[in-house]
Amino acid sequence: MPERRSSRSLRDVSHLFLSESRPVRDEARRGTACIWLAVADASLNRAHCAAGLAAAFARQGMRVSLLEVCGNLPTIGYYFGMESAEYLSPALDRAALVSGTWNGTVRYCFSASVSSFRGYVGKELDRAAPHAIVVAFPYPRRLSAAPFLSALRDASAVLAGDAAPDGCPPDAIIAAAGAEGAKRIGACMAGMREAFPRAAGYFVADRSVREAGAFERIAFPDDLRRSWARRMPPSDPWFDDLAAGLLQVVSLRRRGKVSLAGKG
Amino acid sequence: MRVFVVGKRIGPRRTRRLFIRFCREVSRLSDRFEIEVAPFEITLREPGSGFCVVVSPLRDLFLVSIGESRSFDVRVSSDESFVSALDLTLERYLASASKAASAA
Repeated sequence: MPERRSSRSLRDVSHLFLSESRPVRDEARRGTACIWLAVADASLNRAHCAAGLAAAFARQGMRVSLLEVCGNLPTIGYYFGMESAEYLSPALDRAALVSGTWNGTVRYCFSASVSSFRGYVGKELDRAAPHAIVVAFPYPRRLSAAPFLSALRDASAVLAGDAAPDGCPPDAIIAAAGAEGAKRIGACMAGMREAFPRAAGYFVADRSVREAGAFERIAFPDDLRRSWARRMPPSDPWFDDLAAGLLQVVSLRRRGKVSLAGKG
Repeated sequence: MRVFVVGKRIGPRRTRRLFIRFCREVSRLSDRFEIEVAPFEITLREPGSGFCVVVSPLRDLFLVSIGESRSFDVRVSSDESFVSALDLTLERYLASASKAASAA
């Protein structure tokens, strides 16, 4: 599948980002989209992908809440330019909850323990802007992922605040894997689909992975790895394109114009 | 398990714990690491990217040597030095991975 490189501005689609029950512009300001990024292995760099996606939403005028369960390094703190003592604190204390803001548009938090997010009180961002919630995590290796996913749903509700007092299920799921995660990605997609059957499903993988399961496949460009060492969120147009596509699908599904974005 | 055995060379319990944590965090950077455990050191190497780190336990501290040539060492005996060594190791690993991607 050819890589999608054309930059499609979120402004082109953000007017669609709403439900059908209210006037378009008002609802666009109230809208919240919740995107989950489940990573099956370390080879695609979860924190790099999450920071890039969050920055892509922010570039188009959205306020972004980013949560990361960090099972391994690097963490998103590395890409948002935190001091080493801060971004590495989960390595010393698994329950440590680290948080910060970036450019006044992204608030982020990360911890190695999903239960730590209950105590998160982040800085309030501009409430007039549409809200993107990005939740990134390593897909659990244990047999049943249900308890973990349930805890994660509660954690993402903390970010949604008043908008989702009963929990915040994902509108769209991105399952990601490189060569080392190829064997586990099938279980990841099946588990996510079972837990959240209404969410749109995408599968991001490099060339080495052939399986796509029931999710719509998006190619991961190899050259994104070139910016791994830079301590700032990546700004490749691939992320803008991905963010635009996600918003478009979320808005269309809320309007009932498509039954499922993926094939599942 | 073998990491625990090698770590027993370190006397202070706190430093021994840092040694184990350091090895655990570095080993999780990549699923492709080849880990070699010798009686006096642990070597983690990623084929393809050229990244290599050697962790050597001593009596009161442990040494982190980055790169095949072991051009410099970081001595770790406290949380502060642990963070410095891990930050440096992570940065070198990401730089190696980026360089390998550019070369491909």
